Amino acid sequence: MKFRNTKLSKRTLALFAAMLVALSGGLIGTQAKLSIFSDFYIADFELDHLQVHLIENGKDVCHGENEMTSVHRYDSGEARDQKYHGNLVEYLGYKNDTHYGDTPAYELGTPGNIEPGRTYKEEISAKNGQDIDQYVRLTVKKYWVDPDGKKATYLDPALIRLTYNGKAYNSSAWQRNKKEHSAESETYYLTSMLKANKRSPLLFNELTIDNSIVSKENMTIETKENKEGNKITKIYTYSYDYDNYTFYIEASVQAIQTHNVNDAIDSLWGVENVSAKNGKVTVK
Amino acid sequence: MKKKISNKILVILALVLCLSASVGMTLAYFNDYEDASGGATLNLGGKTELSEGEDHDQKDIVIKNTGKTNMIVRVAIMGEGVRYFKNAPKYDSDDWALDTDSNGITWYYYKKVLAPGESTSDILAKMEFSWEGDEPDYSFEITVVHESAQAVYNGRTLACPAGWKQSIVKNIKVPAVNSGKEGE
Repeated sequence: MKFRNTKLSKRTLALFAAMLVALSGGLIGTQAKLSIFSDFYIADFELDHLQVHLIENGKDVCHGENEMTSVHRYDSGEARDQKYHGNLVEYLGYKNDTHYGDTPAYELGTPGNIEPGRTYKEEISAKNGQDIDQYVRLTVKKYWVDPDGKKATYLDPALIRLTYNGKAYNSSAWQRNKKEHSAESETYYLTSMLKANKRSPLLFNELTIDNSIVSKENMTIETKENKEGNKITKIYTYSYDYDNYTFYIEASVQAIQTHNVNDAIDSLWGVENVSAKNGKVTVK
Repeated sequence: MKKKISNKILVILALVLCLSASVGMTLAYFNDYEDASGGATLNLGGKTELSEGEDHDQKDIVIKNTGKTNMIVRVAIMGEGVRYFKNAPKYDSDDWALDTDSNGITWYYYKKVLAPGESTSDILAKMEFSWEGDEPDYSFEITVVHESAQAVYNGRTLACPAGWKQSIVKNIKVPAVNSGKEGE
């Protein structure tokens, strides 16, 4: 390739210089525009979401506060996805559990033993904690653990009796799904839509450990006589096979949206025999 | 060849897009939940001690709950030989109720559930002998029998152990507990 030795004309040089000036001017102009900003405005959007609470004896068990306080707690900006695992039957056997949530256990006095066959107050329900309606179901699991901490599958979970006025559950407001049944677990559906900020009717209101756990078949009696001079003391000792066994109850309340509810039931709960229409739930 | 590979990639991409779209749909449903759990350990069984006192001529009968559970108790005083009680045993009728069973044994039922560490009020049975003429030539024996059972319920009332008097057991005073009923 050969380069021709051409001579630039004055006109060309003038145009080139003008172009450089124009370019540099444009850059400076651009920088000047970037330096002019308006103030920042931050837009905060909050989507409506569902909020459901598990209520035991009138109190939200997942927060240890009364239920209204727990609602406000979220309104103050606490992240909803921060889940609290609540404690159940913590105050069972106390003379008065109406102070639940307000008074520490050690101030309530010594709890009575959980006596076989005795019926204790155990009111379980759900509460809609938001301004939009929802459908609700509640799953309850019961089981025994032996003194070594091992699950005692040989001891019938049915001996842990959650009831409603002596009946299996409050069938006027809840319906049990027989297809979600096992020896340990039952799932109950609230048969009506749970309105915004409302509490459901009770599912259970009583807890009893069946008195057959202390049957004669698993009882041992031992007698002993002590003599100290003329003083005679006779000692009678009764023992039962299931002494120091622990019963456990787990409860989970779940809520879903009311629009496209059947798709939501299918997708989130995965049950085919449950449907909802016009605010009513049907369990086939 | 190149064209075939491109089609496969396109098909895979399409499937991935469809799947990710359906996942998005699932997550779109509003839902919420709360979980809780808890339990309690049962204390079953019991232990009671019967004390008869040190006086040979007078039985001072007291039952103490030395176990860890609430108990109900009853006691019987039986003897063979000479007539030994000139006077009936003394007891507080606010605390004890009497019943004679089908075998002719008189049982003293304590009318309150005995909490761990608690003792009953006492029953005093004084042996006073009386005979005419020479002292009888035979021995006598007095036996104090006590029975106890862990407080077991049928809901809100005490369950009656086998062989015990039901009408007395159902009136035994039980310790208060919140059972969900007004006034309890």
